[in-house]
Amino acid sequence: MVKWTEEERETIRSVWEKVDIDEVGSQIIARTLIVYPWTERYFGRFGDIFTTTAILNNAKVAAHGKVVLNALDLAVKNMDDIKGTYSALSRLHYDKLKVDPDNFKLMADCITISIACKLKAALSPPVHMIWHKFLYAVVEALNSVF
Amino acid sequence: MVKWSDFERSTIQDIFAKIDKNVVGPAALTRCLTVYPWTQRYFGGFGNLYNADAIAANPKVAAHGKVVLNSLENGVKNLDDLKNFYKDLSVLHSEKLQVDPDNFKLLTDCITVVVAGQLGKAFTPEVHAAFSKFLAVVVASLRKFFNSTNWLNCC
Repeated sequence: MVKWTEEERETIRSVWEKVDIDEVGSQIIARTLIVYPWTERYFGRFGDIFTTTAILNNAKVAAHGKVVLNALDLAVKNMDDIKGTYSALSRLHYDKLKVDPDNFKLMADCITISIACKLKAALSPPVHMIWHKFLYAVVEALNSVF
Repeated sequence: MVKWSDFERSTIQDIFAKIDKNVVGPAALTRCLTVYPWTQRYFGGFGNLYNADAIAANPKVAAHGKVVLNSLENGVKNLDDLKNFYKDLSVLHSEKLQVDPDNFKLLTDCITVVVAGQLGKAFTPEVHAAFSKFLAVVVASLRKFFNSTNWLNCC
């Protein structure tokens, strides 16, 4: 189980409350698909995701980003048992979706970048370090069944 | 040789025109040393790196951040031959500095976060993709002369 100090808990909540799930959520999958195009192979049911314009205008891409951030919200609310909270999601990504787990880190990086665009100087180095620890714990939890 | 689209060239040049490299450089290196503390071991001669505030206030960190961004800015002027442009730096980082090359990506990740923070909404996914490609090619160029025949020659 990951140990969190009070300062870390407070910092993660403080970053998260500044994130508008609708606004940031619509970006993160788009960013992942555009910056790391091989990830497109996991979203075959989303229709046209083969050009930047198509990705940015794709409603399913935007909607799915919100699904991902809503799942991240669960992790923020369950910091003391992210692994348990994500056990079903981990199994889904392994058994059904068959995602290469290296890709979790790519999406986590895109989430951080989207948040950096929004929070700017508020994502200072010490805050970034704590946020990185949180996302690393989330990625590890998603990896747990692999 | 890496191919660059017109959009990628102009976007990468535009990013460097918009950012203040004397702000981004120090901020990126500070961030790297803070978020990935094991990277501090490469900067033993820099003095006080004991906590986030010390790193942020350290003049050698700031100065070296500027050195890194200057090098990247010069790289932008040599987009069509980054491998050769970074050859000497690659040999330096391999043979003299003995840096684990996985750390290059950590620094470029921090540069990306700082640039995203500076540009905000203007750091769109397409701009992010072009910048990410540039940094990936720089990293690949820096990695190029690691484990090269140079160390075979010493045996």
